[in-house]
Amino acid sequence: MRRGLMSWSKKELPATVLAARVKLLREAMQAADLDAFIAHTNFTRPATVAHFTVFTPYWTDGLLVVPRDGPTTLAVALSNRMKNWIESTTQVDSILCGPRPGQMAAGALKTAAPKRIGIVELDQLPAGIAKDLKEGLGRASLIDVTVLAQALREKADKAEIGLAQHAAALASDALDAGLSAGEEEAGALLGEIERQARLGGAEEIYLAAAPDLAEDWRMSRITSATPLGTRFAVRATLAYKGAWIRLARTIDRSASGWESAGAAATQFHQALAALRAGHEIGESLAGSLKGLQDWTAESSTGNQPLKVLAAAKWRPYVEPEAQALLVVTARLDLKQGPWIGAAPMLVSEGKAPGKVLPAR
Amino acid sequence: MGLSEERRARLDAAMDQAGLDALLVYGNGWQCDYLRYLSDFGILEGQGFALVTRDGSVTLLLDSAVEAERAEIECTGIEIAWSPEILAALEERLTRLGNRKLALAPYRLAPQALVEKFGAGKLGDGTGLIDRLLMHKSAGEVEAVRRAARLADEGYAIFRDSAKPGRFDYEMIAEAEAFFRSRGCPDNFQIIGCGGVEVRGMAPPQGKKMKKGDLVTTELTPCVDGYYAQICRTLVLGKPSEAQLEAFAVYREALEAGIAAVKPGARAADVARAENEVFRKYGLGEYVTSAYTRVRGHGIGLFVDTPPHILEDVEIELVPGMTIIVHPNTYHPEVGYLVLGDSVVVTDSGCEVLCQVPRELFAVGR
Repeated sequence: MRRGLMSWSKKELPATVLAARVKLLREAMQAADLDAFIAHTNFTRPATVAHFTVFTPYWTDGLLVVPRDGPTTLAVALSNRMKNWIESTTQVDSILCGPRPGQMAAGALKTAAPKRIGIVELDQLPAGIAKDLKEGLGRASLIDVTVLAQALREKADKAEIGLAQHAAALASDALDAGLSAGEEEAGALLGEIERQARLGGAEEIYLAAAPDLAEDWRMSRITSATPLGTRFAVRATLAYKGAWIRLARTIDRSASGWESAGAAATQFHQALAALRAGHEIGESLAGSLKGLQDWTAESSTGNQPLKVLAAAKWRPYVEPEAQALLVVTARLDLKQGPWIGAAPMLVSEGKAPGKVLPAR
Repeated sequence: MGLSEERRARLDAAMDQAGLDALLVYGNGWQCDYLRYLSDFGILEGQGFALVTRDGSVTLLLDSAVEAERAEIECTGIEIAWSPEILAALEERLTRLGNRKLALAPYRLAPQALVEKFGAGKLGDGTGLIDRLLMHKSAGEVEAVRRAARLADEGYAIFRDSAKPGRFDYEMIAEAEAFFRSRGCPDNFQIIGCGGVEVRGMAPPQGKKMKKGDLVTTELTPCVDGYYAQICRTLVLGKPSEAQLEAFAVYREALEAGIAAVKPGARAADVARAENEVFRKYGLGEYVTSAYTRVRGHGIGLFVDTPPHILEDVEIELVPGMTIIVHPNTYHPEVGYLVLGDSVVVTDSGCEVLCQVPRELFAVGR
């Protein structure tokens, strides 16, 4: 459940940017002959609704309704007492609160009587909400518009890049502060990183660690007293005002390992900078990372933040667009032991190098 | 027997009784209890399904790569599978089950394509079966809630000590969260209210700066071994006013009345009524309606807010082993939103209060 700072920074995400995003959506709706657009949100799948409205529910779920013309509506399964909070974190014309978002959303479209309604990730819609929507919308055709919604988000706009940069900087600073505290126990380290991230205004942070890479490279949450090994890795998955990133670091406290881990981090950043629009991600990484064992590329263009686009174990042909925001995770097998890194990046236009975040 | 084995034995018995060959449960980071009951995995990102068959095998299917990796370490004795195209992967597995009798829970939250594809004929509604197991806890489960309640007490002390005029609301939560992570607690549900008569409820922190005289309300809900316990307390920055003290006394009386009503054979409605009668006695009956408050308490366990909901129209009978929080939280017209609540477990003779933090209106930062 979300309990970090949830507020709308109009400086970082101006109302005009949100209005421009909705305008682009409406143009796409017109091209696809859609009368209305619906996206579902809960706090594990909030990315589409947050992109158009800022809103992420800390609890329960809701639906955003965008008719081709007329007011936008957010129907949320929270009580009316929460309306002020929703208003303070949301740009939308109308907010409806009640236990059945599906019924409320259908009610909001009653006058317009749409015939073709596009729904993002239609298959994934919770069955209870889908039932209420279908009953309320009568004979309207419900069409999956996941691809349409993704296309609108493949190139990040300036505000989105700014928020991702802020998120990456927050995670980086929190990792720096935690790692410099000299903790010897994994839970104490994660506690310090979490404190720093939340004090900095993180909306959410999920921490995981591989406390001793000599034993296991896989990352988990730490639920019992666990000493940190000579070589360990820690990962922060952080949200800042709807922008999600991952940042992972490998630390080696031996003299030779320290140098090797540093060199691997440099190599990783160079490999990310070398990712080009129009080139397959896996091929690019394999060509520039020595000892590559595993990799994952994620983006937040669907409802789920940081959804896997492609990975070593699942490899649809993916060529990133210029100006796409990605999060890349890689595991290398080095002489000194496993090395794990993750970072967000912005794919550049043409032959210019990609920008690894946080860019300082 | 560990907690997950204990749950599995109870589940097997319930599936036997229902004549089920397999049970499929859905979960995500919001509603995680059904998935946790079967797989012992506390999901954070993406979504997952657990499929349990009568031959004893459990498969946990996840669509997040990082979560699948974590599950490999955190879950033992079950098959972990990762698929970014989770519905297609699941469909293949369900088709392989042929005509065996299968149920799904929670039906209302599961992806609609799954329900539509297989229909109620193939995929019955198993929500009630799991709900009963979630509500009636074993001794081992109660002990986990008890441990979570102790951690909630400690967490509240950290939260209270971090309150100072000039601090932001999210900074207080940062201190509580850091404490929980350092103690191996992977999750906590917490909302906060900060201010005076204008505050009508609690929400996530919004960046409010605290000032003298503000009431700071919170419900804090850490998780231990998958089980949550909750505590609700209110503090005031500086010296409490007479009005704040008088108002708080009503909430304390209501909490005590509610807790006194928790006993085997009582209904959830009896507990709500006992709390609400105190407000009515003081002419505050309007403030126990849905315009001002959601529930007068609720179940706790593998999720932070489960049945039975403590409301005057909920006739669920309380039985030993149920764990609930009793909280007469609501708006007070003279001072604003106030909260006070303790987690309890229903015993053979009444109830055991699990929270030990004094029921005071704490004055801090004087």
